[in-house]
Amino acid sequence: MIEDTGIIRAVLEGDTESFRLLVQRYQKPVIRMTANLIKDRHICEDVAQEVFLAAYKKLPSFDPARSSFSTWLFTIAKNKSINAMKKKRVLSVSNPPENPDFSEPADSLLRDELFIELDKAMKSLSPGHRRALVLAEFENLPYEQIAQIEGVRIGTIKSRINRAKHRLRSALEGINGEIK
Amino acid sequence: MKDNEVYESWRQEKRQIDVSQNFTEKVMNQVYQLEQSRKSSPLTMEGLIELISFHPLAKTGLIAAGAVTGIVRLIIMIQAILSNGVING
Repeated sequence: MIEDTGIIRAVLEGDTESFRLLVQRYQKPVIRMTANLIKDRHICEDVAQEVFLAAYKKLPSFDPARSSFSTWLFTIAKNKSINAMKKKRVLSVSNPPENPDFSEPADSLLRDELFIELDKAMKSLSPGHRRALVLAEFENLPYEQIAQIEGVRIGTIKSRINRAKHRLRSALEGINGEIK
Repeated sequence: MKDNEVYESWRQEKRQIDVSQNFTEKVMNQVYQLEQSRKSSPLTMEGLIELISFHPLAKTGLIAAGAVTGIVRLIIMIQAILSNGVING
């Protein structure tokens, strides 16, 4: 597999078509990140398109010595998501679809209820805590990379993720307590 | 159902994402449109701002040009003041 820096070099030397490789490589994580931060599915893809177009425009300013391409791209995605949320004032996450792991109807109903609670708890987090959780739990990014994206110290990221998880755990315990 | 299982199941679900089949095409079309507009009118105000914002060399060049202009203006002013002083004196 060609490394990101090799592709970037080719694009900067005039091979525009090479940029397609970067889009194909990162479209899923970028759309997933925006989807977990912005409610509307169509807006998510529009925002993701904006992210890639901005990345293309800014590519000459990308410095591989300062960060990896993915960190740089996620930083653009974070900023575009914040702007989109400000514009549209949509801070929620999508409703969960069916999950094949739960076959019993009762289990499915309970699961749906629990997922809704988790979604609500995630929605109630501050934007910074939510972004940290999304990047750590859904994108599996290391704390160091999240800290770079957010422009804060690793300790702050750890604290944000712990608090976010605690909030989610409390939401689950709350609803489980009601059911029991 | 254990809380950990629920959380893990929810997390896995959040990781699932469907990307529109023509997503890459849409992005590449925009990229080619941008390239086209850059080629057809390279000296638009937007293009100039983009050039200055995203190209470190252009930014450095602009700052250097500004500094040189300032110094030249200062020299001319000092010269004018001195020559006036000489004439008056």
